[in-house]
Amino acid sequence: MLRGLGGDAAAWRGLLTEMGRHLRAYFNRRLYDGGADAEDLVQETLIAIHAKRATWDPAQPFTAWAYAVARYKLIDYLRRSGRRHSHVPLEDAGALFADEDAEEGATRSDLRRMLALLPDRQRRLIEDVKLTGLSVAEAGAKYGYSETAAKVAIHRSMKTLEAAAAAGEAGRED
Amino acid sequence: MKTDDLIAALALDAAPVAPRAPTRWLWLAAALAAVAALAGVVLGLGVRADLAVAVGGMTFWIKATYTALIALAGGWLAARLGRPGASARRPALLVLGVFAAAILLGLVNLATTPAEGRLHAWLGHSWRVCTLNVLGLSLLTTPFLFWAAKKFAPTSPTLAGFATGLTSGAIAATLYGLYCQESTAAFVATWYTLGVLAAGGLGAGIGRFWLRW
Repeated sequence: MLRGLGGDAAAWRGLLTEMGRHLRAYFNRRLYDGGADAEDLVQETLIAIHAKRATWDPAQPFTAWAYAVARYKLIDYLRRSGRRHSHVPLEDAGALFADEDAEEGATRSDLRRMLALLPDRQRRLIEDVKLTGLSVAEAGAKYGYSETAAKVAIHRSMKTLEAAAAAGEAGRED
Repeated sequence: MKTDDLIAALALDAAPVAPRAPTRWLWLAAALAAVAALAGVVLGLGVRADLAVAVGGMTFWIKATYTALIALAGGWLAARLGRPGASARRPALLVLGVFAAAILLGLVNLATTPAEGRLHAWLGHSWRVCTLNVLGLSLLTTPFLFWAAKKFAPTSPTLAGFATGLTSGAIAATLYGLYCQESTAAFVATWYTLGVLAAGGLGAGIGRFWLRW
């Protein structure tokens, strides 16, 4: 941030990019119908961060400043869109910076718990295809499936998982 | 526009900025506002005839100290409110403290004045015009301060506008002392204070629209 204030374009670009990520996660969480509006708000806030960067007092945490800017822009947006009585809770700056990773982590661990329901070979296959991002053929070869057999196995696994998810908390008891 | 393109465009414009810059603009605006108010008093109202004698006494300076303190505390408050995430607690307490001290002095003044002189100590000769004159002079100071306030980023524009208006009013009131001959604490604590608060109210209305960003 200090280097950005000093006119270091590369540092400033890096900071804005990182802020863009945090802002996107923050606004998406706050605007339940997020989508394009959330992205507009991200851009608007980035412009504000840029235009008002001199109002950050280096004696204060940068995170607190950035969070206050993001919250102001969110409230402003909600007002403009006619939601007069919407309440934006005043959290600490962590709401902008930390939550994102925590939430992502939570989703992954839920998925892993569900996958634990599957037979070992199927589970690894799913993990490689859906989580790691290998192609079906690659993952199949790894565990001794032909591509077709792998597709069938994945299809069956997904059925099992859907059934487990539909049964509510079933997965948690295993 | 895609967000990445926007970021690239903003980064190209990454000229160095100084975090102290907004505060410096505020000081400059306050100085220009004082000059404008001085011109208003000298050209519009006329300096009090006994000024040379008055500056030798305490009353003149106590009045000036009160309003100048409000101006300083108000400016500090506006500057803190204009920095997102910064706490404005201390300047807010200082503003309230200075007002409270002035009102207390006014009450002591009334309590120690013989009953038959109280009404005169409170109303003086000019209570009808004092508040309006301060508010009128603040119209000369307000534009400068709001121009500087725009360099900040207040997350509550109405409140920041109030603080900015308070500062404009207090600068106007300080210079108004060059015209006004009233010398009782009760008078100053009432009519000057009302004028400054009225300027603050006007500022809140301006800030609500003008200080949004």
